[in-house]
Amino acid sequence: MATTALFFVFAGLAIACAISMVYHKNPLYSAISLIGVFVSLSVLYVTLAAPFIAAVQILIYAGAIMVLVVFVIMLLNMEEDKPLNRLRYLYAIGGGLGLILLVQTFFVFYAVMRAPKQAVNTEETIGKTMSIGTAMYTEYLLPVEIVGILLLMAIIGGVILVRKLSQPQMESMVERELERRHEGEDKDDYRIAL
Amino acid sequence: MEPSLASYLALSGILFTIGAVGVIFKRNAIGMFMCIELMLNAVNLTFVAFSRYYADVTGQLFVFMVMSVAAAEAAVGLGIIISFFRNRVSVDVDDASILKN
Amino acid sequence: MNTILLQNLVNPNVNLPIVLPEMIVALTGVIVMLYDSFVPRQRSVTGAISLIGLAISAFFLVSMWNDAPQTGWNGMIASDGLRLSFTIVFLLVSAVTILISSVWADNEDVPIGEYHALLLFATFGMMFMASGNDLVIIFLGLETLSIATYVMAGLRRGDLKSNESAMKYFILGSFASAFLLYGMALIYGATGSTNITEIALKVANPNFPALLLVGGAMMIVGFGFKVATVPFHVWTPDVYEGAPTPVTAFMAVGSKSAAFASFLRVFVLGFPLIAGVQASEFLHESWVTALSVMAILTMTVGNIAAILQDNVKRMLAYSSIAHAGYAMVGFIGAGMAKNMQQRDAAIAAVAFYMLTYAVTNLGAFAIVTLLGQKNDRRTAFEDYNGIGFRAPALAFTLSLFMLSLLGLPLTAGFMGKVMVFRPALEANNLLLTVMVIAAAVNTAISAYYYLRLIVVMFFRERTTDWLAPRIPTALTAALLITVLGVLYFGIFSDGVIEKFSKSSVGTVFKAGTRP
Repeated sequence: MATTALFFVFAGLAIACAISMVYHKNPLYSAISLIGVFVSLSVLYVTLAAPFIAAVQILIYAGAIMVLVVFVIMLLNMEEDKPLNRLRYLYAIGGGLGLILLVQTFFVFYAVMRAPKQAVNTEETIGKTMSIGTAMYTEYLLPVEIVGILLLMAIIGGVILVRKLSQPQMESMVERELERRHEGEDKDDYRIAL
Repeated sequence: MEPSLASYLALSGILFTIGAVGVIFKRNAIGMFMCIELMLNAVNLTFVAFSRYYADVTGQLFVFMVMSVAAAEAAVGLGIIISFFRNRVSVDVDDASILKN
Repeated sequence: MNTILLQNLVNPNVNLPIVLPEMIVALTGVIVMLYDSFVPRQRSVTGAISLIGLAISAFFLVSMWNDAPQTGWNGMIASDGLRLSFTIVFLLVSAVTILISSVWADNEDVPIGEYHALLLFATFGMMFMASGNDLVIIFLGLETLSIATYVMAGLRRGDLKSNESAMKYFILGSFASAFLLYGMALIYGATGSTNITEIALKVANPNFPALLLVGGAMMIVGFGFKVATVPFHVWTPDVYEGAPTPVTAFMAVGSKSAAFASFLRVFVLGFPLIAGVQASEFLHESWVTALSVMAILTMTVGNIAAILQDNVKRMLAYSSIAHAGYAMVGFIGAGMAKNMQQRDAAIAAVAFYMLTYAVTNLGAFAIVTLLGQKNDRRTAFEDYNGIGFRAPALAFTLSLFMLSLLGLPLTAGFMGKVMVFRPALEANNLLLTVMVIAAAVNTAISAYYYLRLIVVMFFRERTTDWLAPRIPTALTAALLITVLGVLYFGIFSDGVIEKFSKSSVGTVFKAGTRP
């Protein structure tokens, strides 16, 4: 009973926050809505008896990734999106894709409803930290090590992309920027983000 | 009455759809990135739901891997977006048209 | 408080020898990073360390060559014909890319130590895509490769085109990864396992047959993007044109081969045809038909679009799309194989095609890098006017590569195409035969733009001044390797094919038997 209530409340909240995220033009509002989605999903993981994943979801997604995103939004001083002057066909593609995926969702829902039900064992302790920890260091040792290398590489990549430009690179960039603008025309607009 | 497996799958499908449509309609790179994160979360929900159904820890371990990958991708992706911004004043995706479409 | 008794733990089945090649590549990456942190910007030293690491890894790989197919790490890693043949291709690609990048490092201000490390980690990811027998490993390998490539594409930080290319690649690549992951989730749901061999067994009586289909479709979308088949190819020309040319070479050859390896592993070995089971038959027929249609479209669109291009890098990008279409022909032939020998022969054919495609494309991109000058300023067709007789070595080599891409006999490209069309013809299926005919027609059409480059080089007048560039040693080495490769694989291909035709892990159920 409690599970059902929780499911419907937080599922509704997740969908509402997701739609709000897509709808808002201001990137900061989108980011906050996305945090709302993450928190609702975390509660849903708890109803699915996965407490470790619920905690990690809050820690990593809401706590690390979204903080980074908000940081970057603030750093880049992003403004609201301007009204769309996009090519028409993009609307058609987006609408078509959305329709196909919705149909697919209903298909999956219908197929799973019709299949014979297997009783869910409510005593299982799969979601507990101990069982996840055990699995991580026995069956899933290799993926964990690969993730280690992946994270190392992401750090290296992130740093070399964002490091201050060295003098020759900066000079060539300035050179090219000057070439791009007509001489004397855009002198007042001359801004290069450093 | 517990919410069945099918309800969780339906929810995750709807979230995935919203994310996919969002990627196409959003104009700014950070917005697109956030919609992709939404899609990945929808997939995570699917995995955890099946993991509960099968009483198998594989699904939840996979979710953990996906989260690590998403974190790495966020770091690199935001780095790329900052690098993109450094050379121009806006992150308006429609300005990215030097390379012909 | 729960306690764990030691004997209740599952044996992790740590099997270091089986992943030794990958570990060596990762270790070399770490060593390169460490060295670079103490003594920055030593192009030759970090390049040499990387090449030595790749060579040692290749040595250990070759020493595994004659072992029977085996799995390790609880079935997560498979060491079989598919893995060995594709991994050799990856190591070769990586080594030649390092040689080609020396030109780039000389002319521009590139953080070369980190670049080499990223390249090595990307190779690490590629190798796991080939050896992974579990959806988790394949996904992690794919993401390692992709993230490294996103960074490398944007490495020319002062260049707007490079930034744009990295951003487009990142957004579209992550979008496709999400689709792929959703497919993996549904397959896990339908079969209850992420291990490819177990999935192949479970296809006989899946828990949710409908989810198999949906999952398969999503995975085709995800993999289709990475392999750049139509309709998921739109990112390729822009990204390839904007990225620095050595990175384009790596993406065009390395990423594509790795995506093919895991695509093969999941679909041919994971979704076999089990006669008598309706779910399996329907699934098999669906994916074969879908991929056949995609292959025909890919070849056609790639070739026709390439005809219209004025920029050599974009032309090579569309040409690579078309080549992916040809490779799909072999892929589908492997899917329709009737017994294990045919299937293994078809997998070997696709690996061989990737090898010949790698050698040819790397050589072509090497010359484009050299002639493109700083920041790839000179990559339009006009910039190649009349250089034929002023730099004969370069021009003749480039012509050789164009002819090999076209598929002239005696070149590697020809043997690759022959090998790859054969399994499709042996299947005796109408759709497949139509596909092979389309491939032959497309090869004829592609002659236009390959020969156009040769004509432009030798028979057009040049209006501007041009000095033949000095060819650096590393690039000479790269060109030598690729030219030798093109000629060797064109003439002596049998030995290589035989080496590649080892059996793969996983069983195919013959028509008429049930598991």
